[in-house]
Amino acid sequence: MNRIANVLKLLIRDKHAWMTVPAGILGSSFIVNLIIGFGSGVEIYTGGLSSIFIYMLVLGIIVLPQTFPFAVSFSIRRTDYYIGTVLNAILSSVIVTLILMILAGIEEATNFWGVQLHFFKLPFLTDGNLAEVFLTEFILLLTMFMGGFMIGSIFRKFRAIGLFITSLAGMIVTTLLVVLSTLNNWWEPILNWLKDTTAFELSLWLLPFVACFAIISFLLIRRSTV
Amino acid sequence: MMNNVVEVKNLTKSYGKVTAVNNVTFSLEPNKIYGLLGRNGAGKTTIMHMITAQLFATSGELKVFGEAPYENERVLSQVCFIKESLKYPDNYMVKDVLELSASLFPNWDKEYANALVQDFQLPLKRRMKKLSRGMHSSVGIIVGLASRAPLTIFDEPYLGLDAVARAMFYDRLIEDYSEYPRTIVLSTHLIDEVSRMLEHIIVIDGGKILINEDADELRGAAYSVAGTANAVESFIAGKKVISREPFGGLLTAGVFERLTETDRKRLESLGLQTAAISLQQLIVQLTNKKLETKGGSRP
Repeated sequence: MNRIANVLKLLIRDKHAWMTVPAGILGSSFIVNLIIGFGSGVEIYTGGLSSIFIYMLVLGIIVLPQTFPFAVSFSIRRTDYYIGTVLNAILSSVIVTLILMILAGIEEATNFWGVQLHFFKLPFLTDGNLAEVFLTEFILLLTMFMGGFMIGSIFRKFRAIGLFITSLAGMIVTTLLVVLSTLNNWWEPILNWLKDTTAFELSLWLLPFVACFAIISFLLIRRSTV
Repeated sequence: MMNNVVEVKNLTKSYGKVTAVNNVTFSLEPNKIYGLLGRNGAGKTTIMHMITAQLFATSGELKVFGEAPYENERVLSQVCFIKESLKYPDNYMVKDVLELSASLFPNWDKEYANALVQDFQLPLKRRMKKLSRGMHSSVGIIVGLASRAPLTIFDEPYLGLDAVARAMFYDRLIEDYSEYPRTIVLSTHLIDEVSRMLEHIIVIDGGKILINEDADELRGAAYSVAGTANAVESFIAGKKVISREPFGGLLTAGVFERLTETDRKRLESLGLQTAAISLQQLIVQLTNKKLETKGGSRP
């Protein structure tokens, strides 16, 4: 446990990556929207919240090149590094989700910041009860991080060529699925299913992907050299 | 008899068709200072990376403190490997590296580390990214010294350090080593600077071990002979010659053998001059591929 705590210490020391930068990105997005809302006087539904989810993806990608060679050089086991990093991502996702929910509460209480700005409390995404909203946002944040982490670990182990092959394979599979859906007239049932499914139910469908990302990155990191 | 700290048997590392480390066998005893010497690309860094489980061997056996080092906490917690290319997280300050080291290395001596920071005049609150090359190297040296790991490895740790700072590193290393003995491996090109500290020397060339010997043995192991070409040729016939530098009708030759009393008398009668060859010269000559290294004659 002490060893994993050391990995957490190692990561959190980089306050910029885990605190200042995400707060700055989300904060500036919010302030820009607030100013627009103030000036325009119309009701705004903004996608500015997506910046924090995209940042989690970026963080997942950069955490490996930033800290993995350092950690291994300083006698940290790869397994401990992996567990510590994933644990840190889980804790960060929990904290970010709680902050987003508190801000959504304030948004509602202040009648959307007094300017009809819908930034944290969005239709569909925050439709369910508190537990559902928490899980939806948490799972989404974690999925983004783990997706980035897997990209980072593919690059770590197989360099650019590995990333190139993986993306190519991903695109081919996506194209095949699109073609199959069109040929078999699957689009209508798919759209109907999406229409009837809540954000919370959709987020549960992300869990198998998170598990895949987690397993793949673990296996790659275990075999990565410095 | 204590167990060896490192035990390497037939260790090989190849990248496709290139063999970086070729069937290397050696061991490191506890509480000794080793010099791991050789030219660039000889395979030194690769060997050290394998000992610390940062790279994986293609074949062969590798034991550190009696166990396989890969993902082994008992081994890794006793090892500190400082290399030239050490990469720190971009946002880390000097104090972040030192404070983290305190929790990672069980033998970390905080006061000693602080004293070293003073000695090397490091700005604690400066970002690692913003440090000069020499200061960057100093951080590694401080971690290597203050961690007091039972196996401490320095791989070219002083890139960009001036002569004063290097001398300070050597002094601190010797002082602390005599107080807290441990196994230290120094890999370097500045052989003459460190040769007085080394107790045992391993020379790697082309991925193979060329020399694995006690430093004292090696210090008197070679000498040079100078004089007229004919006289020198007649003296070195049948000896293990490692270098030849003709200059007009004169010749200077390096001989990789101990100077015996008989040799000395012959040198006198032939009117030849002799001098000791420094460790650095010896290794330069042995690893210089352009020279024939066996026998007394060369076309």
